[in-house]
Amino acid sequence: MQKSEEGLFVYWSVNQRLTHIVLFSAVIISVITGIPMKYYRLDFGMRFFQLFDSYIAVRMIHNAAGFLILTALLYHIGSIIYVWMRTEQFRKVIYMKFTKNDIKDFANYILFLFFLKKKPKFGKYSFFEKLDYYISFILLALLAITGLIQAFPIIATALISISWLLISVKLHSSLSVLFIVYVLFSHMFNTHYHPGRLYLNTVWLFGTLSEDEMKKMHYLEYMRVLKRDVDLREEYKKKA
Amino acid sequence: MINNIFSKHAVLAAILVAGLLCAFAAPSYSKDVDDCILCHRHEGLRVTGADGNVRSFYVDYEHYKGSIHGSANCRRCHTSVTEVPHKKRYKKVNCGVVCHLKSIALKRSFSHSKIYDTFMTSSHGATNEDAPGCLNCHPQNLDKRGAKKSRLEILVECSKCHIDDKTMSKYDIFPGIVQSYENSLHSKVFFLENSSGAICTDCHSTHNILTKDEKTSPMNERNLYKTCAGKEAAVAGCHMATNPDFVYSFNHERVKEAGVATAFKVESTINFVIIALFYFLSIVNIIRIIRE
Repeated sequence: MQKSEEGLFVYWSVNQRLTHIVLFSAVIISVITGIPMKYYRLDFGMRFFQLFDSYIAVRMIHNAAGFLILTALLYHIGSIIYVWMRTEQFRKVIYMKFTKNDIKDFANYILFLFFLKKKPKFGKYSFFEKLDYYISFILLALLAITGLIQAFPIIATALISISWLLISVKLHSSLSVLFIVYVLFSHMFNTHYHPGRLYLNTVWLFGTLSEDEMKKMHYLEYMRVLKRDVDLREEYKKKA
Repeated sequence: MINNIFSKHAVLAAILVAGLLCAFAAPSYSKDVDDCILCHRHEGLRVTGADGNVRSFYVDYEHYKGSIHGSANCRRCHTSVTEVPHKKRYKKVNCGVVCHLKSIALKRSFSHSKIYDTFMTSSHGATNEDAPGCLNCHPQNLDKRGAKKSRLEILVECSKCHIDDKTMSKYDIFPGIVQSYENSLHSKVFFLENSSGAICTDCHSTHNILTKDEKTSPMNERNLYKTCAGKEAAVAGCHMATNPDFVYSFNHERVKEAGVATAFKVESTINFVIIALFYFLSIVNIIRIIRE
């Protein structure tokens, strides 16, 4: 993480932002097309299909969005492996890794909610954000796999038993609702309409946070960056 | 020359007159030779049976005349009715009787006897009080000429009887059969893709519906692949080039099997988690809003 010349902290790289934009766009499309497919017996489902002339067109859009999600997930895994292998610095500081501090933060946060302690200070990613990341990733991966099985049932049944085909149909349908509820009530709350923020988070678009935002939401990371900058300056002075 | 023109005009006029005669000719509808309509035209002609059900014996003669059987006299089908006033009880109409019409191709009287015989040897042809007859599925025999049932109507027709789990369990037929169809992908595709999803008759055939234990049944394990996937499929052949395992993916009784039972358990567990998560996150978020 770096501080730019304008005093903004670069929180997300272009690569991260693009992956996130592709991912949430595909998720939004698949939710819009998936809900009428799940509740096809209800009036709104049929009306939605009429908008696109047929159910087949909606299913094709849904499948395309699904493939995009799968591609984004694979790209994300691939880019992590690539950076892991290429950058030594990355191996030292894995921001998304769960640590003992996260358990402490979690316990302290619960005590804070019951007026027993002060609010804990977080690094680049709080335990909320880490949970959101892992749960969303696992749910999306499960949705992508079960969706893939349904998209190619004949190939799938050559590889897995019929029972798994039926289980994947039920899983895909139920997990999608679970994912929607989780994203709306946890991820969106933590990121966008959290009272500590009082504004919409624009990191997904611009990739930067102001100094105030850093102090408020990611104090430990803010301190770490400042300390590193001071250290670097001193090191530079010594060399000079 | 004049004779030629005259003869041409004569031919044209003859064709025109013949055409007009054909166009305005009355169709050969049945005549009420036995005066059945004399009584049956009255809408109030009803009889209350021993079971308390009221049956109407009213016949809309105009409607009947325009129907597919409109050219047949009443006694062509109601053969056991021989006197007036009628006896208390008559035999049911036998659709296998020889008809009045002559088949042009076969040059003999038309009959439903072949289909009737097939039907009588099928599961539906059983002689019990609940077994359906021809009229249960073909009430449209009195509909207009050319009237054909839609695929949805066929589905509804089968469901009318098979939705009654009590009656079905009497004959060792799996209860919840309609519900299991509704939960299937066949049903989903039927409702969503312009009625192209498989309906009852696509898999079970029409007149020769047999239990899956019968060797000739399209649902018999030996014939299942042929029914679902084969080119010479007896009924459907929808899943071309599929693998043999795939044809077992849909089965009304699969609900009893371990894999499917697991699927339903998984679904209900996730549904429970969704509701729990919704309430949990809502409460936690409210507390967080208050506290922060």
